Amino acid sequence: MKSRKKGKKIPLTYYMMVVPIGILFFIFHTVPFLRGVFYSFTNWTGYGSWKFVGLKNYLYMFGNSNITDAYWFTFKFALFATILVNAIALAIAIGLNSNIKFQSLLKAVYFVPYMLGSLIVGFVFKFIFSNLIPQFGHLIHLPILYNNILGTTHAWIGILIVTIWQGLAFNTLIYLAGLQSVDPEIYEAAALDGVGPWQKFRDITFPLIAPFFTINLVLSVKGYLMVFDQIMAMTNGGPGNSTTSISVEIYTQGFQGSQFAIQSANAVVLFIVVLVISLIQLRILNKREEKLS
Amino acid sequence: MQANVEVKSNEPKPKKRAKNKHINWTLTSVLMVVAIFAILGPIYITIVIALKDPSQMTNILSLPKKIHWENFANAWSMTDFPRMFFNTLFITVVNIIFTILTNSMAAYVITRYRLKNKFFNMMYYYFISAMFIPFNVIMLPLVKEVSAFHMDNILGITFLYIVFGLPQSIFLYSGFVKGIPTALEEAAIMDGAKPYQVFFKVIFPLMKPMHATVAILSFMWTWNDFLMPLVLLSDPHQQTLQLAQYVFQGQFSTQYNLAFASYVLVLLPVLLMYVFFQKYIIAGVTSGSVK
Amino acid sequence: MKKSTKLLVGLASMLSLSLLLSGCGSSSSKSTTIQFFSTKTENASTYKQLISQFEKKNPNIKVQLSSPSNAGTVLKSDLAKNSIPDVMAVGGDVNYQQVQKAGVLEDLSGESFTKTTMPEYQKMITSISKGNKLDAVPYATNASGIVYNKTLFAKAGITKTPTTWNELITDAKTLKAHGITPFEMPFQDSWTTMGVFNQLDSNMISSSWINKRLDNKTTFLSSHKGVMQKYLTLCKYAQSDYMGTSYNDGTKALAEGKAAMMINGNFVIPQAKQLKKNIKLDMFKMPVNNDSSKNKVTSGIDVAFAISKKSKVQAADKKFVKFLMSKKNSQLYNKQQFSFSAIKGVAQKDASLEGISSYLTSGNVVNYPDHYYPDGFDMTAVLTQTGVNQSKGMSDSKNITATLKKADKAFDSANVKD
Repeated sequence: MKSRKKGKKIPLTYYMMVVPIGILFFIFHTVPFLRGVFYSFTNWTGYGSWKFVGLKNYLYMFGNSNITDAYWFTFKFALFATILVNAIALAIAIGLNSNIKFQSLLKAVYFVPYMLGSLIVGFVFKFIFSNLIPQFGHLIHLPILYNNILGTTHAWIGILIVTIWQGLAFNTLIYLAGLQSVDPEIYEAAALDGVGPWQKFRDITFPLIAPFFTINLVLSVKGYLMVFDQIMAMTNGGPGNSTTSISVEIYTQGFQGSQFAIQSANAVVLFIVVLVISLIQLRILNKREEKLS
Repeated sequence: MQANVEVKSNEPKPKKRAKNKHINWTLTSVLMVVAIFAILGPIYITIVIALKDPSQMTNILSLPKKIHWENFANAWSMTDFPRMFFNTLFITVVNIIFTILTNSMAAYVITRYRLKNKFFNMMYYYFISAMFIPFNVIMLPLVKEVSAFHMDNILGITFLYIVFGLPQSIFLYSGFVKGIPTALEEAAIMDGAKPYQVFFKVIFPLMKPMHATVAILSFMWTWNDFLMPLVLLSDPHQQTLQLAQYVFQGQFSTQYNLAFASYVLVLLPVLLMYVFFQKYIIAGVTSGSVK
Repeated sequence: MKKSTKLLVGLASMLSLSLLLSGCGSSSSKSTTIQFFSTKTENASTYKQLISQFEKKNPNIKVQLSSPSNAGTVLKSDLAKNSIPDVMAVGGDVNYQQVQKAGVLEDLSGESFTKTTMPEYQKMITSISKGNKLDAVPYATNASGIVYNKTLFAKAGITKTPTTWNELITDAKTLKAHGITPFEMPFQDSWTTMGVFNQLDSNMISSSWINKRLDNKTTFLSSHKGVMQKYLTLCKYAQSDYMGTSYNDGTKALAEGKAAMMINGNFVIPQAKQLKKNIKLDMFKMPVNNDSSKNKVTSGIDVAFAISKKSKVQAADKKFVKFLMSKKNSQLYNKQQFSFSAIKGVAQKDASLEGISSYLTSGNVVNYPDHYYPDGFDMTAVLTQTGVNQSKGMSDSKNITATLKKADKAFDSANVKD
């Protein structure tokens, strides 16, 4: 390798394989990003003249309860979704990795929700929540089920349920891949030493699948901070603004003239939040992996 | 396919154990019950409703007494299904082909030369850091830009999918390219192959397992995407299946049977594909995330 | 290797097929195509019928109807893209205001079809427009009131529709005593809250209030306590899960006789009748005050047509609008949609609207207060929160204060002068 390094120049063809698509990427991805950052410091409504307003949009954001509520909802949602999806997915993965019958069939079934678009899944669950469950509640006389959850303060739990239903598939698959990479002989040795199941999980399984845990956690948090489709399908952000996520807020308010620049600022803040959370996670989790190994 | 082999090679292990120990039937039945009720339940509900007429809806969960196939015919014409289907198919197929062609090229060059060349190294970090910018963040300005270029149509959005997939593809391909020994290319160069021949004749075929992964992930992304079509496509003839479902939601009113028939029409192609290519899809998604 | 080659071949052939088909679609490019956008979903079937007639008459013009469920936002994003549809059917509300303000609409005041419309309704359009142009022609108007099931009223022994607030509440109590749900409120679709709020507001608050509010000289909190008190009182007579019922399911419940009344507009009737043809529905004026002479019908523009300035097929656009606005077609629209016409000499004679038609012909109406709200102020989100508060068991006085404070805050953040 090294001897070649000082030798030949890189052929022009290779530049041609990267530069054109790189330029397109710059025009359609980086330029909009930079323009968004730029707009966030102006009062542009999407048309006509504009002027710089400094940090006014950012200050407005923190004073506007709709936007702060959207952040609060999104964080709460992402936290619960990440924890629940990962805990349940890990449990299912361990189950699927045990000595069970119909293993590959079950694995295939548990993965099905990943294939389905979340908009339609949202529509189906909206029907289940608003028509099926109340009907069932009246049948078994359980008052807690009488009301459509999407019309209550717990509407976010309805959205959480749908998200878990869909999100499990992917996370389970990744954990399963992790578990299958563990050599069963380690367990056999542990069994001889009389290690209990919880200890087995904590001391052997978990450290070995830690990298898979990292992947799942980072992807989950990033995905759930962007939650959009299910909400548009099920509640449109209501009742009140109780299920308006940051993405929904940007979409529904951003195209209104008076909020274009403000929502641009919102998008910039969202970007920073995602970046910081992802980096912190990677850092902490990588460190822990190092410690464990 | 290599990605597939990777997962397969793991499977004998549990099977070997299964011989030694007895099968855990309790766990099997728990997992079966959960799968049937929690996973297949909602799918069952969707299909059953799609097959009924309103008079059979008093007991939603019961099997239909008489199957109403005409729900599908009505939903088919009401949502302009064939047009939406081919729009979506067009986006998906063109995106897969061009993503594989262009992105693998870029990823190959960047990975091979980034240690020797500052420019390519910079490109690598440029693309990887772009992965941290979610679509929602660039959405508002992008809508403005896209309309200025008159790209708010199927062709335009297909183009954007190809370009926007770049960071992830580079990430996926680069891990794979690292594992290809340089000796192969050197040999080809010795034989007098031109640079593009080196790529297309030697490297491109070797990347096949990763092509499969990229194809599957692109498919899943474009077929089920809702936000990008929602903000970018406005002409009613230039819509995707997902967007059409959203647009027609109001027109279904309380005709739940028609609405659900329409959902089934959208879900069916994906489910069929899953039944046939299940192994490849699972392997592809796994290797796309776990490198 | 072979397998993947096959796959590639398969993909390629699928692609060429789809190209072929999409080619077929556009190959008949000799004809002009009008993009027709509607903010209402429930009248799509009538439009479709009219469009096919129009296309038969004009074989080289195609009309593409689009009526998405979240029309307001879709229209706004179209506006942001600078690519609005050729012809738009909008309500006389904030959606129209937004598009109009952007200056992308054609002035229609000189058109022949404009002259056939009633001047009162033209005024309603100009009153919410920027400048003095008529950028949309009124087509259909709606009337708010209370839609009720005659059979259920008779069953509870109510022989006369209420004309005062006290009578309304007494009737609600009577219905409840007979085991009938008085009101069906489908508040999961948040816009339906305005059906109640607008009627209370327009009958209790002076129409000059909004100007004072826009100048920050008054607040919701100081003037709307009475409105909210009545709002919450009505909610107490609604079905148990009123926050979790969608408009579609609510209309269905009304059609199936599960509730006696729905406080909304005339447009409820066609939808309910579609579900149950022989249901006996009528409407009465909502008796907000105890002095019955002070109660007015809230009426506004349900559908107005606007044409894009940039449309490349304006001649065809105008031809299409003219076609829709012909007396015959307007009558058909009225008949199917149970609406009132803005076109002179087209009357609504359906028995289901008996209780209310006379007020519309006499012009004894008030406009919807929310048509004057600044854009970006979403009162429906405030009111759904009120509903949630109530079902959580919050006391009325607390709920009222919380709601109105929230309304003021939301109003202030939307009320930015440009």
